[in-house]
Amino acid sequence: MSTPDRKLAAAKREAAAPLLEVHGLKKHFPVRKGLLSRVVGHVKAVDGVDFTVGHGETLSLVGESGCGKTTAGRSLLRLIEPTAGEALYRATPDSAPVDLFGLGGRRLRSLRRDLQIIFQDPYASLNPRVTVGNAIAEPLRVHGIGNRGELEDRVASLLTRVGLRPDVANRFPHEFSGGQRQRVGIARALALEPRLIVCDEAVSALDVSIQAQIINLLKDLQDEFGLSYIFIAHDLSVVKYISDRVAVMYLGRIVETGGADQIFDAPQHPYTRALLSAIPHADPRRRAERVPLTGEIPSPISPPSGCHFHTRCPLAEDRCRQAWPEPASVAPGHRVSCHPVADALAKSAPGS
Amino acid sequence: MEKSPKSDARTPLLELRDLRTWFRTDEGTAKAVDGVSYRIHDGETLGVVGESGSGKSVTALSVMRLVPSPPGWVESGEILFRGESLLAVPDEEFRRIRGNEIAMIFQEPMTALNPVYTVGDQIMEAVMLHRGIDADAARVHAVEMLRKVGIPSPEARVDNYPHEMSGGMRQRVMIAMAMSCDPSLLIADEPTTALDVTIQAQILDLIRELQEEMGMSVLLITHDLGVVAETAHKVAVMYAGKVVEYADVETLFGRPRHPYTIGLFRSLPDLAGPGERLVTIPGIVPSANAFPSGCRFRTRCPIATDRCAQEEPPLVPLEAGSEHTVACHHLEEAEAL
Repeated sequence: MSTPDRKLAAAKREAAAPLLEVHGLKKHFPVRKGLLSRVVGHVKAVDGVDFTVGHGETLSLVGESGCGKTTAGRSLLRLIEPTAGEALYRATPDSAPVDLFGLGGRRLRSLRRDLQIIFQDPYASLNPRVTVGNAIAEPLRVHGIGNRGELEDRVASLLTRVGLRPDVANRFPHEFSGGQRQRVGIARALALEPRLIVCDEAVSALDVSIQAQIINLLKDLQDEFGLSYIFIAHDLSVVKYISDRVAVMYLGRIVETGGADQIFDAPQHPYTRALLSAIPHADPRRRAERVPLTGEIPSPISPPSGCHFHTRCPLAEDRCRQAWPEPASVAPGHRVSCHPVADALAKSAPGS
Repeated sequence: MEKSPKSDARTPLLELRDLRTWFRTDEGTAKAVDGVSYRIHDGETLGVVGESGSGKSVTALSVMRLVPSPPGWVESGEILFRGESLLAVPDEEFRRIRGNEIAMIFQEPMTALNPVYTVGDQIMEAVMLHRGIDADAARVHAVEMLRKVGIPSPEARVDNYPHEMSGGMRQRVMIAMAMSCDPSLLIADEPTTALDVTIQAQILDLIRELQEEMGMSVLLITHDLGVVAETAHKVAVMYAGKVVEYADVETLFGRPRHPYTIGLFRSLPDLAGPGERLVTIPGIVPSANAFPSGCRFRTRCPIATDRCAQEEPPLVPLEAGSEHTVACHHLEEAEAL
């Protein structure tokens, strides 16, 4: 798609009701200690995040280890039970929203067809004793779709669609390279014709030339089937390329969210700026001046008060230690949670 | 350029000549490293890039004499350190070189550090062995090294066990250990691959600072072209057990000549515009048990001809006297890629 086409598609998406609206998502893991395994605290892996994903849109959750991006992604599929929040899901823009977190039993199982996940290491997520054909057919069998012959045809067409020969269905995972295994993982995720796929570091373990093949495949599938992706990644150059919108997380909270070009061209939050400036560019003439970020990420068991980033922030003031900054609008669709940045925005706004 | 190596004319600090390191496997002989030549001069950083299975790590392990044997062995070739053959040095004597003259850091410091000893003990062990100083002096030295690599309150941290530290801290400890004997050559094998991007930036800055301060050479092995662009003076691109292109960093990134190098740059998402398709290198890296005849890249190369299947292209200077070397029969056609 050319840039104007993308802009048009983005504008249409904004007008329509989104596929997924997440409000106040929290996941706290209890920390137990001692003989009686008493709960002595909580790891606040995800501590109240809001985001939306449009139909056919790619939202990336980015941040460093421990920021909660993986926990947030897995909570949506209920692979991890969320502690609080709601996730309103609309299969189509016109359908009534369903709260994914309020569902149980059969309704959850049937909705799971719409939501799939691809993992970083397909080798760890594929059973070594099951042929890839059976691995791909398994979700279809679980949902009682198709007889034997139909299943074989469906597996063959899925394998072809992800760029593998249909006759590899009888092979075992160890006979494939990393990139081919990731194609198998994608074929399995596609089997139930989902609407949303969570890509959890899906291309992180792949070599550069193979990574490009898989990214192209994911984009083609999105165009063909109108898929939405939640892309969880730490490689920001991949994120910049693949995303429509980006949410930057730090210690369980979203600090900035916006369109991919807004985040990458005009980052506002001091953490986003530091994160972007740390990316090494494949251009020796561009040895960029880094925004130095000292120290390490604090423990999520006892995150800093107020704004979680204040212990490492060059702009930190007293109020940053006291209160979490509510998100302020930078531009349509672009919001940032930072006291000093919000003030600067208010001052430069027209009419004030 | 602000970082220029001290000299090119003298004997290289490290020189590999047609090195071959092979492994016996159930499927036959895997020629993981199969004719690698490169040089590192004093004070210089050589970045070796390549994808999994290109042989970049096995080359470094061969230098350190850390290739597991069996199944691996150095089949042929030369490893020269300050002009002298390392392969001829008996094991006993080599121990005085490894860790002292040449030190190595790895991708995952948790597996390289011993979990049952404090980090101080592990740094002290190396300096006591190589420098013959007593435990008290070694401890002072260990604290000093931890301070140098930016560990806060090193007097307390020296008594920590590896598991009490974060990934970034552990990599700093590994670097402190490697630097404790003031080596001439530091081999860094994917030193930042397991780290978050802000911590990666800190560690790369640290390696650069230490290099300037202590004047050592660095052999940096990575798959990340961004890391190479920011850190290296010279770059060797490896594919299927061989070096296919070598040049200084600005030349290589500015005007790559080998079809593989060109393809590698094209497949980087940072260089593609929004909505543009990524250019990919078709197919996968061939297995070390069955490299193609002739040029090993020919099975994935858009401009391969019959000649590429028959004759292996030698790694030769682009023009007489040029430092930029390329192994390709069809440089003119590659220009048009």
